[in-house]
Amino acid sequence: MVSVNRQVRVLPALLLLLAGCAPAPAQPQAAPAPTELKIGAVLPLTGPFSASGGYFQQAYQLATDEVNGAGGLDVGGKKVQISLKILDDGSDATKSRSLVEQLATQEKVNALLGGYDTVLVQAQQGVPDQYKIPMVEGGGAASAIFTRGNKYLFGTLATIDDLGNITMDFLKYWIDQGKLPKPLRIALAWENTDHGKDYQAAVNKAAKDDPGHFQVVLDQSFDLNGSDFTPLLTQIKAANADAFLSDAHLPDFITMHRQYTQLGLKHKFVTYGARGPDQKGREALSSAADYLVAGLWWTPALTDQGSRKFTETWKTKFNVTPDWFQALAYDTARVLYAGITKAGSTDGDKIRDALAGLQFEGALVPGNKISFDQTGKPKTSYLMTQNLPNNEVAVVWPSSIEGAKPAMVPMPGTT
Amino acid sequence: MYEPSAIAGLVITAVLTAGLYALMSFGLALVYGVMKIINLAHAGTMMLSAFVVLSLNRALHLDPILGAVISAALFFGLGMLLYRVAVRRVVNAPPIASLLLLFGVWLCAQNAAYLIWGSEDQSIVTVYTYSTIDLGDVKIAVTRLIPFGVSLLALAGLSWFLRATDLGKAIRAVSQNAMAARLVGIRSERVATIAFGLGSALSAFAGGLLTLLFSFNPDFGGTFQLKSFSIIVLGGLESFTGVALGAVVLATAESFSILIPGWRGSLINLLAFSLLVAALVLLPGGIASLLERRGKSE
Amino acid sequence: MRPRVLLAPLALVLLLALFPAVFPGELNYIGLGFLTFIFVTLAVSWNMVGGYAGQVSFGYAAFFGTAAYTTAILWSRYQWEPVLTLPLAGLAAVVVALLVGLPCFRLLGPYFSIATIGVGEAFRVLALNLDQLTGGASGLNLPLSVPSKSWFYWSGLVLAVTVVSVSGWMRASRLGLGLFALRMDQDAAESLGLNSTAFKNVAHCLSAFFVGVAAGLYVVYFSYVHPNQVFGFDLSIGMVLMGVIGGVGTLWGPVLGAAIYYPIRQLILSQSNLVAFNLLVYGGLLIAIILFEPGGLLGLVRRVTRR
Repeated sequence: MVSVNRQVRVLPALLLLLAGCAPAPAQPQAAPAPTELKIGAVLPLTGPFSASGGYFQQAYQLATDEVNGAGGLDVGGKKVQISLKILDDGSDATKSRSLVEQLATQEKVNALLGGYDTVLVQAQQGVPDQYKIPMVEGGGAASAIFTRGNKYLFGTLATIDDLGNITMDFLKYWIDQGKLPKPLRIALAWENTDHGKDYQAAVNKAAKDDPGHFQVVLDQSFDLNGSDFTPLLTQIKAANADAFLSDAHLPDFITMHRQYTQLGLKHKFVTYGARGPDQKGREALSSAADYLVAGLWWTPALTDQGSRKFTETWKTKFNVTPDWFQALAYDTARVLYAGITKAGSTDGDKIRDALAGLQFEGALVPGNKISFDQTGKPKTSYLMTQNLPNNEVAVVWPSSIEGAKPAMVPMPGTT
Repeated sequence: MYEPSAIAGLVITAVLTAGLYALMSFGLALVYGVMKIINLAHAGTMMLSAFVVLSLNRALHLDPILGAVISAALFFGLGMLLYRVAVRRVVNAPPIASLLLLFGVWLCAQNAAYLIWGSEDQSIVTVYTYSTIDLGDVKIAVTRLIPFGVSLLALAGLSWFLRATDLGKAIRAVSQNAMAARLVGIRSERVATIAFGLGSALSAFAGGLLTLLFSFNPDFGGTFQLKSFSIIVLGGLESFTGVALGAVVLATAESFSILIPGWRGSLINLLAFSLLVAALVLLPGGIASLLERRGKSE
Repeated sequence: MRPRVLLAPLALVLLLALFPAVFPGELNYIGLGFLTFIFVTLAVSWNMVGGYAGQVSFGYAAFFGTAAYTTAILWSRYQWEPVLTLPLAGLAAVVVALLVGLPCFRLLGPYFSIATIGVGEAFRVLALNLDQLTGGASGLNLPLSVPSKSWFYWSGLVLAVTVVSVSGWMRASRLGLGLFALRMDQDAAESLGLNSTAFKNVAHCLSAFFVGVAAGLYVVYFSYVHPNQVFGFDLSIGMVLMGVIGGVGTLWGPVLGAAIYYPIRQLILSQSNLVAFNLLVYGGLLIAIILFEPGGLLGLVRRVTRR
């Protein structure tokens, strides 16, 4: 067949043509003159994490617009406009990593803002150190992120093991006050992810270190985005625990707590980790979500001036009440920009060093300060909230927070 | 460790879940039976239908059950359209063609959902969402009872339809031998179009009812679709009663898995996949064929 | 095979090989090139069974993932040199291929495909839960210091060239001819004395080996492995799609398919204004190919060059 020969020649030519169609390689540039600051971020705008990815995108953009609107970011005495480029990784790790690399090598960004959810952040985290481009992330809270020896990565989310720790501290206080049985029998259900495993490890450690206060009577995992938790809840019912501790993401929280309520389960204390006051959750669960306690990085129920201003601004602009996603993403971007101002330069190493020693004031997180330890882990902590009837939320821990009220323990209607 | 009431609870859970699973799988089974095509757009249909029911609920305060009926009617038409425009061209092609075509349709459906409704998780609350029926120590949620009841009705209705109506008999004929059916004067093309429409309608109906139980987003449906595969394979791929049996087997396995010592809850989906492979390799006719064989030898 | 026919492909390979030497600063393209070579390897390997033998597997991620974890565990836990783990990764994939192939090849047509979906997903769920072995849902964090991008590029190129050569050799060999016969009519082939089980399993193992080596390289490049990434259904179906887009059952089809699938998708995703439509584009492309040109892009080329 004559065409076979033709094909074999046409094919490689076609491939070369395709290669040629790709964008022309960028000409090597001299060190960019600081007339523009290039910031890049890769977020899941489609796929399973897209809802939160969208929040992060909005918040990064808000922080950037605020700086640009005030004339630009102060870099070495000059005001520079920030150019923010956000790409979609479709919630896929391979794409996430490749796109961050593209931002680093092709777009030649000066600094990076992190992605959302631990798995994607972990996929991305090889890039900052490889290209010496600092990244500040607010979307990955697994402690494992900070054990890999990164020098160019900084996080603003307190890690999940601390969520477990603060929950146990909270419980210990109430046990000592005589409001909860001693030892407290705990049924623990955790989602099978890095997030859940951190939580499980912290709870188990607290129980091991202090068996007088805590006894874990059930320790069971569940699949992320599961559909039927009835077998799990049956096990929990049979365990006869005093407290039900769970760590779940929003869809599982809604499904599980609905089924929990429908099965008539009751415990003196119920928490779903960082879930509870979520608007969507309260809509879906109505009064079943009352009195749930959550450990959060931020809540719109905070009454300090910075938080209130942020909540107002967000509501006016987007017509929804912000949640921790938006607040932490906003803080993340502001921390990065503060680090760049402190460095007085767009040089990666200088920004990195500035961030390492940064004491950021005026953060939205409890304590209003963000700084980092030598692994890049943030020295911040959690607060705890309790849902109240009529869609209200109270901050209940630590008591040092402005407006904090004592929690209702045990939960009303459960003794 | 488990009191009798807990075990009773597991049995009830298994039965109710089986009803839900069966309902989800009828549409897939019908399409496969008639044209030997695995409808990978099934997940997309369920998901879009859930969103349609959501919109109807938001705009007109329509109860999800009513919304599901309307959605089913809508997808009956869309299903027939999809068949005439695209699917009929790949019915006689190698299986890979229809698999990938419908997968492409699923992707488009997901993107459409993202564009129209956004990516957030949605859920519907009704006045009866938290209502339960109490049998002593065991509580049964009304929202779980409804899909179960509906699936029983659907099973009865579909079986009657296939047995007693002309169209139903035509569908059975085409399922058994499309060529022969044509030879006896059945308009196979028309039957196939209607069957695909009906299959889509069943999927849409199930998707609408699922909103009573779960929250959903454009990614919804993939895991359910895989479980439906397992169910129709377990059931023998050829009959609706088989689907019901397959659903019972899977739901029972999932419900009682917690009794296995050392079992991790996050392994639960492994059951569906393992049963799928085991059924295909060890029991090609599914459970229905086992029972048929027994029935014949008696 | 007439030597002149090889001239154009050899020229292409030479050009590709020279690229990092001539443009050492274009790290983005070198990285893109590496990943494209990996996908070419996957597509061409899959095609040996899916295209030549006509057995469409949706579960190749099971091989990829097993090999990926083999490399990851040997490298991180036992301090093996990454390169030395690659043959073992390939072998691990072969073992899985045998375990899957022996029972599943008895199934015909769509039943085989469905079974492979179940297998792939079963592996994924297991990997998510066998924490002691795989790190479970945390994945495994691997050493951050890896060879240079150019090293990966050339290794990927060598692998891709090897697998395309093997695929080309297969077409003319007894193995390939036997597979083609099986695809056309298994009963007829068997009645002529062809041992269908042996042929299918050999092809399966051969293709799994290359998938395994590719997986090992991939893991070293990423320094991170997670069950949803390496055992994911997206990966399995991607391999099928690359074959179909390019032209399933041909030699160059999968190569073309991979070249389109990976870099072009990256391109779409990196244009922020196209992002909201990326699934639509992908799905639409698929539908268009299935409906209008089942021979894929190669089929399209054939039509054009016939004039």
